[in-house]
Amino acid sequence: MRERDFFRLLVGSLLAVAACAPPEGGDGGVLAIVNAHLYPVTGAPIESGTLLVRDGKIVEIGADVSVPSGARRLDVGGRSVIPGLVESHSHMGFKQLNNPSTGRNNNELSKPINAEVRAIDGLNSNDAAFSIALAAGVTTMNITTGSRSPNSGQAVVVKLRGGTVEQMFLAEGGMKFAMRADREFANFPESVDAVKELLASELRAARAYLEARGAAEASGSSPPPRDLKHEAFGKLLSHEWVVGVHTGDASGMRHAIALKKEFDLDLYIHHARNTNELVDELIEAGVPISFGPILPYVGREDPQLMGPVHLAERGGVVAFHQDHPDAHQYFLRHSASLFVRKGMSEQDALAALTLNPAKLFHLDDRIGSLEPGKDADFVILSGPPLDWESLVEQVFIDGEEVFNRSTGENAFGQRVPEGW
Amino acid sequence: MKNQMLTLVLALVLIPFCWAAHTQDTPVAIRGATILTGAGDVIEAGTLVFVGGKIVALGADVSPPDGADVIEAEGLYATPGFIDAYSHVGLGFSSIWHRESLMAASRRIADFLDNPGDSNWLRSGVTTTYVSPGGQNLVGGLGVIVKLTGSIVRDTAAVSASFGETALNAFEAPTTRQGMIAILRQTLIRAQEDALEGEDGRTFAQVLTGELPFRVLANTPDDILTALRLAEEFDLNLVLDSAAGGHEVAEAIAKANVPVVVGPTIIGIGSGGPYETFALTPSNAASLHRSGVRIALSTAGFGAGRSVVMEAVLAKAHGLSEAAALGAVTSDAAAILGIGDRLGTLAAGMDADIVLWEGHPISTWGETKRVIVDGETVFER
Repeated sequence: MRERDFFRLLVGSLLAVAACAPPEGGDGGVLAIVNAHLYPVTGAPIESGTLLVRDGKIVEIGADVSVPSGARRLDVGGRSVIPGLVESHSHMGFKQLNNPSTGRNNNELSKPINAEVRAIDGLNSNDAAFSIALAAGVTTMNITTGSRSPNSGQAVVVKLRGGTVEQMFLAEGGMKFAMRADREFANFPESVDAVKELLASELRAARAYLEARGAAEASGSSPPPRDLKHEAFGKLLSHEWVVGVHTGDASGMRHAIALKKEFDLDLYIHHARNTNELVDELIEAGVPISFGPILPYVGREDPQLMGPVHLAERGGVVAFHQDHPDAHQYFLRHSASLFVRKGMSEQDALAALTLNPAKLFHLDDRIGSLEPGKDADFVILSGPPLDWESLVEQVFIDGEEVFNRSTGENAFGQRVPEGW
Repeated sequence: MKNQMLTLVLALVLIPFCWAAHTQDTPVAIRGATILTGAGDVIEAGTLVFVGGKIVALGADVSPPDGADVIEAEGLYATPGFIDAYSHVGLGFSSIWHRESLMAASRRIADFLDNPGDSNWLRSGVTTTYVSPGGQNLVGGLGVIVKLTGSIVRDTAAVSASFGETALNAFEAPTTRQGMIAILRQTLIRAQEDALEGEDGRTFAQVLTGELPFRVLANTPDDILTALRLAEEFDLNLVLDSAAGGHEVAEAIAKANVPVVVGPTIIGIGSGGPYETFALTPSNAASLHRSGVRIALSTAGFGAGRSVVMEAVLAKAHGLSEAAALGAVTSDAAAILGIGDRLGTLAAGMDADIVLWEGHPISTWGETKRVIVDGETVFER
């Protein structure tokens, strides 16, 4: 055994013992992460502080927090503690690591508009990639259907706490649009302009449907029959749901901005590849972006890095994503350093992995930062959070350990494939 | 003292040669850098002198010659230009593989290159790469070694083959791994008996003598063992590419004395796979190295995206020593590619492909300040 392995094992064992020590009276329901370099994201880092967790929620965080007697203490020896990463755009559970033939599950291709199609109905929680995602520090994930049709369906936000899809469910992920023409299929729009027009016409139809239902209710007459597609689009009009628009070029992004303005949608753009020339328009329209997939497609010297850097400088909401398996989930955290090298602040880059993707789904009151009242979803790293040299050592969701590097165990009951 | 004498002798021998080969004849001295030679040596506050595209001297005691241009590099690291030992830079999706037949052993990749220079890779510190045919053909052709400035280092550098999922998915027949290997074995036997005609006959003859390395892309432990079996059977000069799952058979690879160009860990598979590369973990390089396997690193990239520098940082984060990670993108990579006499090490007589870095080159935050290829500065930050 090499010295370092031995050290890791020793530290791991000590941490495990510390975590499992029985309560000695007092507040045994409290977990205290002590001696931690805390990165709350919503505030400045705390070099040596304590995080208190009770009933799955963060109850206190700070440099001078007193630990209740009997609390379970986890001394992390100066390691970094950050909020669990939030992946805003994934196909995990569709294109499955342990089953390549499942790639076809991702896109409903029988027709261009699939607003009534729900991701949760096709999702397999047994994808081995979920274990690797935990090893990457990801705790929450928006899982969406594919982008080959203008509207492939409804996304779902899950926490990686293991178990069934029902047990993982956190929130509806809203709807997915794609500003993309695919001539391969009959009856699909043949240009991006036509895609935008098709989506606009569906939104108008939904508005008419809602008005007809409302009018019927008011007058007591029989309403038009229920239509799942119109209802889904209607939830965009009523702001009950957000919509993520897949587009990577300027014309697609301008179409998305136009849709937002015309229908007052709660809309974000994902991929958002070449935003350098669109910074003003995106800021003016208040459209958040999720940039990605990043690694391996974007290198250290890629000019595309500057769009998100400038958007963040201007106060725009920027999230990062990996679009697993188009790009490997493991490298979400690694991607952030590329932007810091080009001038993004460490705080903004960390927010792009945590709080900002949570904002896309209006879940930033529950997850994405280390603040009292929020879910106790956090990651313990061996060093500074954006350094590639740092490894994710432990991951917690709702206050429960869901990944431990030294034991290799995780909430999905699968061993993380050796070597991650 | 002995080194200085050697340096002087080399300088006297080389300078006239360089005059003949290059118009650039003013010596250039990089002064005060921490020189990481790539072969394991570290020279603190060293000076490196090159003339006409070749390194003529380096050391802690070396002074800039009279009349030399001096690049002050105090506080910077100097390394050899990095080498990506397996890429597809300069190839397009249409030229990367041969659709007409499973076997395309004599297809010269050098003939399909379209502007193999890549400024993003150069800026990241990568100066040389082996451009391989894709893994769709069982035997995909003759790979080429280029500098990222676009010049060719060796136009037929190896024969690249591919076992496993990628090749199987590309052709309707054969339908199995064992079917593919049977075809290859039969071909090698025909080559042994001089029964192969034309270019393929000449190519496989060079494979059988070991003159051309036979590189096999293999991404399962069993495919790797198959390659080792064939190498022993035909006494091939085998190099393994990618080698997902290699850690499971690392002892066998080490015993066979076969080097591995570890495939990219930072990957995306799009919609089409191959899924087997997901077994390529960030600790694969460290596992193989620990078992005594000589390794290089690679991206399998087309340029523009992440460079092999990042693979080296990742391998270090997952257990490879800093020195071994540096070697895997410099001297060890050059040795595996068969260009170690020219590239991959900072030493007198070598090509003046030099990168100056702020911060350690094998780190998250290390940044290139100047990239020099053949003695010319091609990028300065």
